[in-house]
Amino acid sequence: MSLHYFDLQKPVFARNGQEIPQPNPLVLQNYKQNQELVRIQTEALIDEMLAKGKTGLSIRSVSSYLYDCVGMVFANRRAWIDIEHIYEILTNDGYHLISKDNLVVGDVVVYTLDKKRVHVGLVTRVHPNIGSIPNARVLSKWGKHGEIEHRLEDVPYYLGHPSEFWSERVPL
Amino acid sequence: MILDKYIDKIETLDFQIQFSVLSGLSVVEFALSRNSIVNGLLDALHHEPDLATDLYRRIRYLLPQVAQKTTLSYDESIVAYLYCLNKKDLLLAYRASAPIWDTEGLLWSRWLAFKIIRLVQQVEQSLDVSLVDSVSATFSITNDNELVDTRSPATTSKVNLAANSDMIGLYAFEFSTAASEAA
Repeated sequence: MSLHYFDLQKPVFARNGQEIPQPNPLVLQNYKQNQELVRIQTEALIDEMLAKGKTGLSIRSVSSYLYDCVGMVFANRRAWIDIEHIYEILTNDGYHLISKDNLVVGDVVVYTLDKKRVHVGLVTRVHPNIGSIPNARVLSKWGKHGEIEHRLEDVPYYLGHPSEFWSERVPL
Repeated sequence: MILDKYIDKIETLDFQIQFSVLSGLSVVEFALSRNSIVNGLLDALHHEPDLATDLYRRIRYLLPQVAQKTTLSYDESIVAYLYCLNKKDLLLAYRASAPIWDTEGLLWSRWLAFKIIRLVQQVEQSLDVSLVDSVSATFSITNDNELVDTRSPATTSKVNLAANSDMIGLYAFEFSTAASEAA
C-alpha cells in the first residue's frame, strides 16, 4: 500500500517536548510522488552534478513518501520539516557545536548559503588521515529527490557550504 | 517577445534541479532571490508592465503540461514565474494561484500559491474590503483567458500596498491618487 504524507501527518516533538512545526498539510496533500519518477529525476540530477565535476555521489534510496533533509535526520524519514526550524531542533535536542576536526560518524552537518541555514546531513564516514581536514562523507536528502551519499562539500549550489558541525555526544 | 529569452532558461532541467533539491518554501524564495535569471526577469517586469500578463499566460500554458512522466515537472519554472509575478502584481499572482492550487504534481508552486491566497484573504479581512469589491468577487477571466479587473483602484492599491511591502514604492502614488479621487 502506498502511504502518503497528508494521510499520516502526525506531530513531531523535540527531545525536550517542544513540538516541531510542520507545513500546513493542505500544502502537501496534492503532491503525491511517484517512486519511479523520483528515481528518474534523481538520476538526472546526479548526471547534471557529474557534468559539473561533482563525482563520488551515490544514490542510497528513492521514496515516494514525502520527507526532506530535516525529516531524514530528525524524524526517521517520516516528516517534511522546513529547514528554517533546524536551529531550534538542534538546541531543543541537546546538540552542541563541534569543530570540523572532531567529526565522527553520526554527527550532523548544517549547510549555509550567505549565512542562512539551507540544508542538513548526517556524517556517514570520516577519514581523518587526509591532511588536517576530515575527508567526511555525508548522507542527505536532496529536496524532492532521493537520499544521496556525497563528499562533505559536494552538494548543489543552493544547498550551500558545510559550515556548522553539531553533535549530541557527551564525553564518556 | 522579451519573455522568450527567460523561458529558454527557466524551463530547462538545469534551472529546475537547482531548486528541486531544496527543503522548504523559505529556502526556495531565498534561492530565487539570489538567482541572476530570476532577477533579470524581475528587472524586465519593472521596465515592461505588460510582461506581467505574459507571465500569467505562461503559467496558464504550463499548468496542463505538469506531468508525472518526465524529468521536467515545471514546478520550479512555475514557482519562479509566480515569485516574480508576486513581486510585480500581487493580485495577478493571486489570480494565477487558483489554477496552480488545483494542479496536482506541484510542490513549490502550490506552496507559494497557498501563501499568496492566504495573504490576500488576510489582507482583505484586515482592510474590511466589502464582498462586492473583494478580489475573488471582481476578478474574472473571459473565454479567451483575458483578465478583467473591476475592482476600484483604491481597493486594488490598498490590498497590494498592505500585502506586499516590496510594492510600496510602486503603488504609493496610485494609492494616494485613487484615495484623493474617491474623496
